[in-house]
Amino acid sequence: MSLELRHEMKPSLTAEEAARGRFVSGLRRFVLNDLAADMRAAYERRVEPAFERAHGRPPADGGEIHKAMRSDPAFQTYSAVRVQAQKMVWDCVAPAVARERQRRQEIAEKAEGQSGSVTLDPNLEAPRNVTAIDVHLMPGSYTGGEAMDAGAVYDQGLAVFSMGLMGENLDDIGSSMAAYIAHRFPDFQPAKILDLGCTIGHNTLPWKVRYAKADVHGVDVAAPVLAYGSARAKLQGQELHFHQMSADALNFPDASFDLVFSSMFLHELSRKTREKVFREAYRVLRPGGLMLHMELPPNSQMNAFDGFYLDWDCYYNNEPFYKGYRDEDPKALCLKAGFAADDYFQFVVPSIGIAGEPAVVTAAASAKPLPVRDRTTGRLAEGVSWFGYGAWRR
Amino acid sequence: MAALSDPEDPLAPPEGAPAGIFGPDGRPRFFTDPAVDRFAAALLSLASEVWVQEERLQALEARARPDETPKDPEAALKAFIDRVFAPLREP
Repeated sequence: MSLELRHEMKPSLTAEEAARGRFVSGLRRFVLNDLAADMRAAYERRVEPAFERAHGRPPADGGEIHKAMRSDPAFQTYSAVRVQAQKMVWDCVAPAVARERQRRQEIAEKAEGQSGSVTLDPNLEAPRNVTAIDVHLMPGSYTGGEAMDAGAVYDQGLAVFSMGLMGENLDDIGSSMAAYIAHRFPDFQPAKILDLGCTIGHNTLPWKVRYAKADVHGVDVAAPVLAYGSARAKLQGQELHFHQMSADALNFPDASFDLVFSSMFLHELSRKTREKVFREAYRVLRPGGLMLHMELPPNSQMNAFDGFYLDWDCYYNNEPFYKGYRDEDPKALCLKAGFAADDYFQFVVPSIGIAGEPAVVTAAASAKPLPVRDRTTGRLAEGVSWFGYGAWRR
Repeated sequence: MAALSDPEDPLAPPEGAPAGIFGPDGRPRFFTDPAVDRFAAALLSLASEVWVQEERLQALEARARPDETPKDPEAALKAFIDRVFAPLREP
């Protein structure tokens, strides 16, 4: 299904634009379910046996599988369709976003007096991982277009992209994570929360919903998504504070937050930047505070084929640091930033939107966390679940 | 020999990228003949436009025959995609 945004800044689509969006969502569902299943079948029937005949062993990792799959028609078909479907995600929303620029601006201005803020820093130079490439094949990346365009394209594009699997407000990741933390650690009541690389704040909002008394902040390097996200939050009656800031050089004092969160952010960063982000998270956390990341599961916790499947985005979806991140060990990243081994934990939480809050409660209460499921964890498909990890600061 | 790349540079080929996965224009290449990549993209755009016309036609038909139960749009889309792209599936 194609999702219709609920807030006032959603674009008014023509009948043709709405139909195009529905088609792209349907096409993505076809690629990610049917053609993905075909690619797995092709691997098992043809590619893996041929590799074994040639090498006397099965492929050792996703990298070897990638090389072996390149010449198989199932890989070629899946990949060509998926790349084009991704381009069509952005293409199908761009005309409405451009046409409605004025209306969007007026609605945002109307919401300006409401609680919440956005603080932009015109002197901040956006890093090259955002400006040098069209991240996710999104033209202009997070900084392109005029005014709030990039935010609107991202919001409406995600609605098409997610096929309804990221929740009605595109907040399923944040909602699932916040619910899991609240149920697993009921005594933890964060007063001040920070979301790193928050873009339009779609996964920042659910923290404010879950912890209504908390002072919730989001940072991102891209002004268009922050300006849009601030108006988006205000129009939903939520007080959030957005800052144009780089997560690897936070302009916040030491020990100023109880929870530092990120979602689908770390894999967009180079190794050096990622390490700085972890150190900054450690620095701004108060003793007893929690660093928490929702991310793709690491390659070390998946089989080689499913590792290859997830790493596809690294090469073909303009996310060049994706595999490098997934090859790293989350616990080692935390330890390197100063956290203690005993304070690390990881978990898998079912999508709250699909499985419901009782399933999250069950996962949180379980003595043994759910393991990474090769075919559903972090993957937009039926039965999706999210991988999270973090560490407490002593 | 592959060119040495800076792992911090977002424009450099990702670590471990097989040779030849990008064409000279920097875009991913999947088929032996790069023209096939272009035709694949055009085919998908065309299918999208056909679906748009299908939805418009359904809207007109629903207006012309208000007593008939309209088709379930999600099921109709799935059937359309399954039918059009059946040749892409594994035999």
